[in-house]
Amino acid sequence: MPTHSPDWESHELTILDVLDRALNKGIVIWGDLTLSVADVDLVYVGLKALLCSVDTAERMRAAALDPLGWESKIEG
Amino acid sequence: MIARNVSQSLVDVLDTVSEAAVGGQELAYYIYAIARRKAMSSGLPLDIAGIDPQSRVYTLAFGNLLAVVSTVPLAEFELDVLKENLADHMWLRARALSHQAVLAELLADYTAVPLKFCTLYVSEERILNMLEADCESLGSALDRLAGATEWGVKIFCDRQRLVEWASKSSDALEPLRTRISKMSAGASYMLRKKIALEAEQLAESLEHSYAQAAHVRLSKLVRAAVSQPAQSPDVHGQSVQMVLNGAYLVDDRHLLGFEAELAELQAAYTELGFRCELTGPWPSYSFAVIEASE
Repeated sequence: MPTHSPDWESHELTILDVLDRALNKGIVIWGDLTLSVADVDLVYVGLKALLCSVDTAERMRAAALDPLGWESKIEG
Repeated sequence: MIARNVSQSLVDVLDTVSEAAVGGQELAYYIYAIARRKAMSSGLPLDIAGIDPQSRVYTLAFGNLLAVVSTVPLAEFELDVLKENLADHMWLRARALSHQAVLAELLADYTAVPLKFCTLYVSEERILNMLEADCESLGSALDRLAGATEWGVKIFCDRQRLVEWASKSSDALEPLRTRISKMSAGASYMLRKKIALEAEQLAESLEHSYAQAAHVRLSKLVRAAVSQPAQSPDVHGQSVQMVLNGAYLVDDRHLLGFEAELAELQAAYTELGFRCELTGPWPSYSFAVIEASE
């Protein structure tokens, strides 16, 4: 049974939240170079890939530590 | 007035204006935010590296409007190169984090309108022209944010726990529980099946109505609120469902009250399997708006 904190938790900003906001938000002012809609899509694709790569990296790390999943089987 | 042909390359623009070059390397100006110093600011100058770690961040002023900028090598942000860079995960990650770091550095002493990632100019003069041309709309965008800070609230729900609570403790299923308690285990089999099914359905509707109710309660205490799409478990990395991903523009004087409300929500619903998470302070990513100028 997971334990639950009785209070709300204040967390360090997660890297994924930061990337999500930094890349997806902000006011558009037409500078001499401002990303066009197509470029923003490119950023979005990059962001999705980043999110997946973090996820994949974590899974690979878990797999490297516990290649056959024994630990989780024993615990379970 | 400031809308320009975006397909125009930086090099073309640069040809038409005074050249910015240091040590033979052509420079562009990366602009992070339009800002205004807070009345109660520490008065300390900005001290942070820009998106190019070799360059410090500084401000350009038009009246009390500040453009927060740093120089970058033009070659790295020229459109064709930039497209390749955007596809490079390490480049994108590092630049996005440093963009955010600069905006975060502004939080204490400045009210700031964050600009879109990768907004660049080819000269300081062109930035000053933009500030002058748009000073009214930029000024009112800053007025709307002054004295308030963006905070994020995520609420997660452990569905299994909520289902357990619904079957054991919800008022709605009390009549069924009473009937079961008066029957033998064998005789109550069908009723126990029924209560399990109804608890599942109840949990599903409670999950949504609780998230909505929490958002409404928090929204009443703030200057502006927005409920954003919940992140999927691959993104937030938790085994439970995200049921609310809210952003709130909280007046700084009301922050304690906002936190107290959140603590109260958490206390009331812990038993049901809900957990609240507060993130921030954030740059005002979700609430900065500039009215369209012609």
